[in-house]
Amino acid sequence: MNDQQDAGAEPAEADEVSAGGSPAFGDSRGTAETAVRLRNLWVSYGKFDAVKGISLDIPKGEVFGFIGPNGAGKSSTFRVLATLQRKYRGTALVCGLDVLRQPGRVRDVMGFVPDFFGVYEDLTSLEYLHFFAAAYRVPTKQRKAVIDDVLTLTDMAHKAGSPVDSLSRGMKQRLAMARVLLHDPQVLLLDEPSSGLDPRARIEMRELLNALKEMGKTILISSHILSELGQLCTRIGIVELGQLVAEGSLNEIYRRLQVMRLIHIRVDNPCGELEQRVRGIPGVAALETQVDRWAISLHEDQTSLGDLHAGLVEAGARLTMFQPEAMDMETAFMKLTEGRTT
Amino acid sequence: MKIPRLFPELPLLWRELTELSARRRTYVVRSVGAMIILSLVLLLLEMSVAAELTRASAEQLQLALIGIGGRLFPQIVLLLFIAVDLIMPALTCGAITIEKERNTLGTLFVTRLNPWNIVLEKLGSRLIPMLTLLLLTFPILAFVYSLGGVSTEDLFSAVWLLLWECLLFASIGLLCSAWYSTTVAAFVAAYVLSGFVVFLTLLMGVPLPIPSHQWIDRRVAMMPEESGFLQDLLDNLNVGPLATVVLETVPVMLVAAFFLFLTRMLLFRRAFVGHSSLMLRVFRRLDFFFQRLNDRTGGVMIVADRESFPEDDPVAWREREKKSLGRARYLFRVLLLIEFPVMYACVTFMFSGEAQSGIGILWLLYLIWGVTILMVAVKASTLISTERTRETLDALLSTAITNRELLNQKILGMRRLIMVMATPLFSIHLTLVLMYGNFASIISLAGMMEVGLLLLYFSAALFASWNLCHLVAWLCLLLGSRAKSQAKSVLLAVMVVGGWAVLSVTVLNTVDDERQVWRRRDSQNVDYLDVQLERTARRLFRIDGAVDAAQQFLSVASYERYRQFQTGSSYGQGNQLLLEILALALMCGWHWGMSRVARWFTLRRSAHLLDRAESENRSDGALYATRKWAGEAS
Repeated sequence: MNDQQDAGAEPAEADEVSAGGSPAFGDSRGTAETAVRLRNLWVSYGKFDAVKGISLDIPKGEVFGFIGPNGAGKSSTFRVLATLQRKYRGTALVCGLDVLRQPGRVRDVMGFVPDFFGVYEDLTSLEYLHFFAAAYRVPTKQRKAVIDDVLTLTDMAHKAGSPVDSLSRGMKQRLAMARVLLHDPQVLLLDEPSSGLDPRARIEMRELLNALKEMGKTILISSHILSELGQLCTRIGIVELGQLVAEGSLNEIYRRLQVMRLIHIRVDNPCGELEQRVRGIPGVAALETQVDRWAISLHEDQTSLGDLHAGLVEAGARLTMFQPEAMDMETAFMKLTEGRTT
Repeated sequence: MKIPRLFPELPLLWRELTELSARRRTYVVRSVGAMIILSLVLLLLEMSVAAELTRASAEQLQLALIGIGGRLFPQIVLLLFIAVDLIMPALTCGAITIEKERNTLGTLFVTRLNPWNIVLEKLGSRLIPMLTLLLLTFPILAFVYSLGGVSTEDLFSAVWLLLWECLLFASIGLLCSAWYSTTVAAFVAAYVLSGFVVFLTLLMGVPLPIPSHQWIDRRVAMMPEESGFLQDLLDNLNVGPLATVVLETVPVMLVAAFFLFLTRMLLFRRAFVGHSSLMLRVFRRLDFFFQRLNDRTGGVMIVADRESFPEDDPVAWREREKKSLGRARYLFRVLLLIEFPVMYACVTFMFSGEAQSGIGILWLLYLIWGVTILMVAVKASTLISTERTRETLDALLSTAITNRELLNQKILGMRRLIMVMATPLFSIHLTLVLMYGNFASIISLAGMMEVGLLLLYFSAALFASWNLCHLVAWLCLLLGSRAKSQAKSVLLAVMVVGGWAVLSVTVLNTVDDERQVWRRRDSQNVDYLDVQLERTARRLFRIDGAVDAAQQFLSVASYERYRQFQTGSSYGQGNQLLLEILALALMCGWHWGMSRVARWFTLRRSAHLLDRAESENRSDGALYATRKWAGEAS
């Protein structure tokens, strides 16, 4: 979240940054370990701003999860990185290559699976892969070997001769994964790869992504299935209304959210005097009286749960319930976003 | 107590009209359409007034315009009929296919709307815009009515017949919309079916009095009423003229109702049909049939399937090898389908020996030429929009293929189609050469000259057709690439190319000049250079400029032969022939230049058309070298 404060910066500043770099952002060309770098990225469609100043760095070999409600700006960000968005402001680098100035080279090092995609119904799976191998300019002599490899990796070898329109959705998704692996890209951009898949296909897709992770690919993945991202991603970024509202490893985000952990307590002797004493406990940010309980917002970095419990007992509270709210990805998502969509 | 509604609730109609009114395009199209119709009406008015004033003597000048409305009115109404025939199929063909393309038809089925509701509300939603467009021309009709000579009966007949013309063509469009899964297929089918209905009634004499034909027969051509069952019945009933018009439209009402009934029947049955083309399915069945036949007879396979993979041109490869209109075997069948009737017609014209056979073959030439242009326009305009609507474009654009390569390969993939469509043109031009040539005297100098000229005509005509196909292909690719749907791209391309063709045969036509030139030719008083310059200037803006120049060259060449026969002079003495050769060369060069400019401009705008940044210039070009560079850079 080092650039979070710059998220709302004006585009004019973004241009300055991309032109000469800035102390706040460091070297805009990125480092050897940076696979993707976004600096103050703005994407607008007419008067509507879909992305408002997103900045982030994704090191090589990382699996970065992009989470956000529909219309948050995830797909627009992906389209910029996939060189499919001609008009944007700010800086976008893939493997140190400027997306706007060197789109051809970026396409060579990147593979993109869009959220909605069709397949050529008049081709077989093998022809489909040959088509894209030629489009990616894989040398002719190597094509057969490369296609065999990706078919094996994606477990599609037995469907090589099948017409693409006869494949199930899960298989089409695997075929799309095979397609983007043809040119052995360093960075994979996967927009909702598990969307609409049945549980088996979803598990198979997760296994495939884990295999790619093991191979050292940098993967940017957006998904609504948060539990899956939790298992797969090394870091996540939460986007809402075109802005990055949180970014970091899962632990960092949990820790950040736990700063204001909510604890539900029930006491036998509720009274105004006790309430005042509880409010006075160090770390208690707020206390809300509900029908059958009190909800305490706690700065956990100041006071641990154990210390709060001891403090409550010391203040004279006879506790019948002490229930800290469990933290998981879905809670984090709900806490960080307000469900606002454009 | 519940008060019954005065009008039934029509949610689908309401939705369609709301959507229509929210689009800026609606108002633009309506204004432009009204302006075109009004301009044509004013042109007609001006021409009629001028003709009447020219015809009248000095004494009658005051009275010349009295009753001009009566002569003008049928022409204006005829113009409105043509507008309805052209616009109505385009308006209705997307009514149901759009729901199929958006996957919303199933949602409509699970509501309380019954199939008849859906069909009739869809019909209403397309009729209302057409009728409002016609309504815009009513002030003009009122003005013409005020000029005198138009009876109230004529006025009401026109309104009634126009209404039924709208309904008939709307029902044809709706039927096609219910049958096909895509708007493009429905669009083409709607015009083919409409044309077929017109052809059946106009040329084959099938007793279906289409309103516009009724109008042409009774009001424009003033043909006497023919005896027949319907006419005898009307005579026996002894009804008034207005009632006669109404009763005469009963067959049309029945036909329109029948088409609507078919639409209702097909609405469910064809609601979830796949995207595969009818032609492809027919060809696959034919393949299956021939395969079985071959298995039994051990016959010879003319075009064998071979497994092929792309080398460096994947996009062209797919268009060429995998599309229904790209495969050599299928194109061969299309060729046979078109070529056989054309060859038959050519041979018939050639050996008929009638004076009109030359005109007949010219009509055939322009018919095939029109079909070729239409097919090339439809195909080229949907090259990118098909990828866009089927969501395959993003995957393609994220590869290393450049924008220019993509567009170039798309057009290259069309080359086979252009060649197949050019083959009947080849046959027709060859027939013309054989008809006009005198190969008996080939051994003489004059005979060799003649053969040379005919060969020049033949090469130039083919070159002109080939160029024109490429010009239309690049132009339509440029027009259709930004469109979000196939229907929009086809509509835009057909409107532009069709509009250009209509302008070419109306405003820019030189037929009248031709007649004058031919009439005055023998008097030797014609300044041929002036005529040629004016004609060439017009041709520069005509879509068929080069083709027309080739035909003109052929007719002059044959006239020169006639004159040589008459006067005993040799070729090339007059400068007309030279001028025609120059004009032909200029037109061929002009069209070649235009096609190159269209190609250059389309490729230059490729980043804008595909909405994707163009790849930077790279000296390496190879993928692995690039990756190495990226590694070094990082």
